Amino acid sequence: MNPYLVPLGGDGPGPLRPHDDPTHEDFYVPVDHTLAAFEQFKASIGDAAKIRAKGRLVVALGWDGCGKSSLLNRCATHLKSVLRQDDGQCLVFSFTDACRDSDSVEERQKAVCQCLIDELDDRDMLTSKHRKKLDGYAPKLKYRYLGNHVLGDTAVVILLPRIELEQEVESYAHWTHRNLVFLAESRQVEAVRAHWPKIKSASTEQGTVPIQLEVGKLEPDDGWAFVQARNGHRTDGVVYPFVSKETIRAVIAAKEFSIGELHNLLFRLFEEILAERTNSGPIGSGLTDEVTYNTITDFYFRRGTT
Amino acid sequence: MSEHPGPAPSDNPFLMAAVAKPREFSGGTVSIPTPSITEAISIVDSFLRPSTLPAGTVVAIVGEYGTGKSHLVGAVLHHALSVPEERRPRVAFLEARPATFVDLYKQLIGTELRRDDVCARVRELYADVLADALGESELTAEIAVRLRRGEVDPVEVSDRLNLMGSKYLARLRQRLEVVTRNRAFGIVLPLLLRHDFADAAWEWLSGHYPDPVLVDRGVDTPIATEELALEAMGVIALLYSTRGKKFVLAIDEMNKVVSATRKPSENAVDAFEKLIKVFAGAQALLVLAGLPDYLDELGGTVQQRIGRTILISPLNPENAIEYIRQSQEAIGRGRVLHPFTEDTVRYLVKLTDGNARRIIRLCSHLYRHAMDLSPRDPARALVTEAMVRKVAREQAGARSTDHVRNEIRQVLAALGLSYERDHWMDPQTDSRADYWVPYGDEDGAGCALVLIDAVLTQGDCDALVSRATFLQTSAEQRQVLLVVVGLLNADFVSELGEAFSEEPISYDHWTFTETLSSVLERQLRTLDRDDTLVLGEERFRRLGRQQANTQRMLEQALKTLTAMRSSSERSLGQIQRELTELSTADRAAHPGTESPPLRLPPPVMVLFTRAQSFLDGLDQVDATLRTMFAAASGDSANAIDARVAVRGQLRSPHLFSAVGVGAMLRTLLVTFRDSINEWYRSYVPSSSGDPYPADKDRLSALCLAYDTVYEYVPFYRLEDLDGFSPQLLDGNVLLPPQVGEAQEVFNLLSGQVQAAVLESVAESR
Repeated sequence: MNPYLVPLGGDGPGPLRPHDDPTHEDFYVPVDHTLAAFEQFKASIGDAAKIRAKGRLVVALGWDGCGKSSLLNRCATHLKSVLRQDDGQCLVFSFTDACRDSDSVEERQKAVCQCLIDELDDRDMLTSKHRKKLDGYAPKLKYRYLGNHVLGDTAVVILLPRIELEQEVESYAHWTHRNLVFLAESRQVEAVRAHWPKIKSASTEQGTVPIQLEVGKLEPDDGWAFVQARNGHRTDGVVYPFVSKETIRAVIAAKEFSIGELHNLLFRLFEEILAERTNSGPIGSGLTDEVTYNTITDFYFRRGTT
Repeated sequence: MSEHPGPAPSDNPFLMAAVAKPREFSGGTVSIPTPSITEAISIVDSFLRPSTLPAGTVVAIVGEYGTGKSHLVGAVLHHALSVPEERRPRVAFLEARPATFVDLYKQLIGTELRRDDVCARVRELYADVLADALGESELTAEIAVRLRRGEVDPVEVSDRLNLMGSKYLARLRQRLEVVTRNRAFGIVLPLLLRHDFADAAWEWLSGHYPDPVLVDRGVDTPIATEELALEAMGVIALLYSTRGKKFVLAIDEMNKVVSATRKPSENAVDAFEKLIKVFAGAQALLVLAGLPDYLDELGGTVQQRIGRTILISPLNPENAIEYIRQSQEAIGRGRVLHPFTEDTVRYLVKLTDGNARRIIRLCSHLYRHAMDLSPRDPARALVTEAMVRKVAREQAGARSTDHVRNEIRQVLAALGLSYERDHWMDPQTDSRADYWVPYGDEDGAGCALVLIDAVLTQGDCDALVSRATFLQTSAEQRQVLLVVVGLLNADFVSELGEAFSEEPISYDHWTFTETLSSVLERQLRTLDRDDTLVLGEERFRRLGRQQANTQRMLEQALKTLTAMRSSSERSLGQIQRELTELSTADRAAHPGTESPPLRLPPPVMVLFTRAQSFLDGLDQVDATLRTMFAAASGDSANAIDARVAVRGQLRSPHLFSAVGVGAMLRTLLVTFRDSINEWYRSYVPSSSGDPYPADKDRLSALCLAYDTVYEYVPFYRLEDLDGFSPQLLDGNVLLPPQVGEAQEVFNLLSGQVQAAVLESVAESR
């Protein structure tokens, strides 16, 4: 099996979701500042009482493939454990696919809010009176009403769809309320950074401080750490082609890489190698050839141009 | 060698339409290297010469109708597209219809530059952004090379390699903002590369309201004003002139967007100035072509910024000869001039003032005419000067003086002027005005309009000069204008300008009403002036004109009077003969029959009744005279008063003309009504119930006949009947006659009748 097929059982590389599957927690690798960011989150989020009282907005920033989704999923899992420490309830909802990038901000916000109401309704947490009230409200009032009158001692963690516009991030800062934690991610690093004072000010009005987490490109040793971690998870006993530390360092040094890009590259490369092996002989027959820098360069060129 | 049949003599090498279409210009298009074309081509060559410095420029091509502006635009575009591929610019051609800059922009984006085309341009820039990032690494250097060559799609590369796409799209946005100098385009253009956003982006680029996803991104205004459209055109020029490429944009018929009657706003002029600056500062060439007034209206600053203005030169005889040779060669007849001769071509050029379209059209007619005269021996066909004159006159006639008369009528109506058709100042001389517009206080003051089909010979010119002189003889306050429908020999313009109040107005379909209107206003203002000095100058000028023509007038007068007498006698004889024939034919056809009973449907009948009642309201002669006779049989004092009142009215010399006009209108109305009645009797409904086209045509012809006669009736004269009313005899107060309202009813009558007839027929199905 391809050692880079993580999470397991999927079609290919994708974000880790430990709140859905606790085994994913083992696959986190401390690369591109993700561990530091997670530690920063844990340090900043505070205790359950504080979260329940005021809610929170957490924003992960980074370019495509830098691990924002995996980071926020890990944060959600952490929140779940923190919020259950005081015997209260915690629900984690992922609405990352509730809408499209190309929907208007208003449509996107309505979709997320409606998803939350539907989820709560499915759990019989809404009465007809609640539904009637909620019908007439704008999102801000809906969130406020849910936090005050519906959720009780249940905190809700919402993983928002990827956000492109800084104003949309700011609106969630305005809507942060007791029992509501919004986890937002955006690839528009510079725009959200520039807008951060307004986001912060909006959160402050709600009595909280937003948390900004940043993930970035791979550092020189990150690639090797990632390869080692994936090799360590192998349980199939198959001898895979050897990739040296020097090769990976050389690849990472050659150009700017995100973890997603490297992960994808190695996954596709091994898919190709494994397919060739399947055609030429059974896997696990003591193959010891090496994936060199040239192998990767050639593959990269072919992948990019054909 | 195989024998291909050569062109038949009936193959006319000259296009009757003679309207150039720049898009259709090809290597096979006959084109003469006139100074204008040579200059334009050299500008294109200079623009396309490889250079890293901005080579942009703006060229304005100006010329009158038919001088070859569109042909020149076609030649420029064709030349630009003929250079080797590596230097070939992207060329866009816009044809301005009566439109705005917004319409032009929409033609540019969507019709001329399609979505795929613009997307490809943005994709090229994205490929550069990506190549810049990937080119620095040996791992990806080869991919960068392929990206720059356009061999791989940058979006696909980014997706397949899981690159940080949003980072590079942000860089693309920055680059586009720099390139286009426009924030909104910087935001929208990269969205063309994103599948989910491309429709919204293209909609906005095409001039529609921005989709909410664009409003979210700060693009909240459609490209719907003249300023934004011009700015957007500049953006497109910048987009297409980066990466070492060049862009040529040509706009033909600019005068349909900007002219004296379509004045641009100040903001639009400012935006146009910016557009010119954008082109000048980029690798872009803007070619503007149109009638001269578009440049005038754009103002001095714009004119100063235009790199080069090319005034289209008229064709000289050598050009025309070369054109004829090339045209014949193009259809395989060889570089021959036959059936033309150098002399006839020179004459042709002189008559047409070198106007290319007129030359080509005349060549087409002349060629056909010459060949028709020698069907068995085409080699003997010959175009002579006499033939040129004959064909020119026929063509002027074919241009439909009726149409010109209709336009004159429209102009006079628009200026609120009353007029008479075929008015003789003095029946003894050749002093007929085709249109006489009485104006001012002085008796006989006004403006006379003379309409002529063509002025080709000295004889034509002499006749007009003497006519102008006769027209001006009997009054101080009189202006005389000449309208030439067809060709006007340039040799006579000055002479005619001296004889008439202004130089002749050459009829041009596009500008005639505007020109005539302004000339008439100017001349009538002269009559209005109370300034003694100005009046004195005018009189002096007039005297000078008259003296200069006196000798000629005397000679011509004698000839003209003789000709008139002869002509009048002939005409009178002809009329008498025709009347006799008509009367005889009528009696023979309807012996002892009455007029057929009216069977007009109420909506049609009411139109005639209404017109009749308006006329009755104005023309009360009958009622007045009946009242007078009624009074005569009663009290003698009343009878005397009535007679005195009627006699008092009869002293006015204008009354009789007015009565005549009234009688004419009554007759016209009744005969028109009867003819429509007859139409109802005779039309045959088709199976669908509609009239057959022939019946519709017959109806149109009846209405046209009414219009044609009505046009000659000086309706305003009915005002002179205002005292002739039974109320006058009763000693009552007179109400002012509603001449204007009545005239409106008669003006609209034929159109309303036609519509009502067709509607009634449709309803009866």
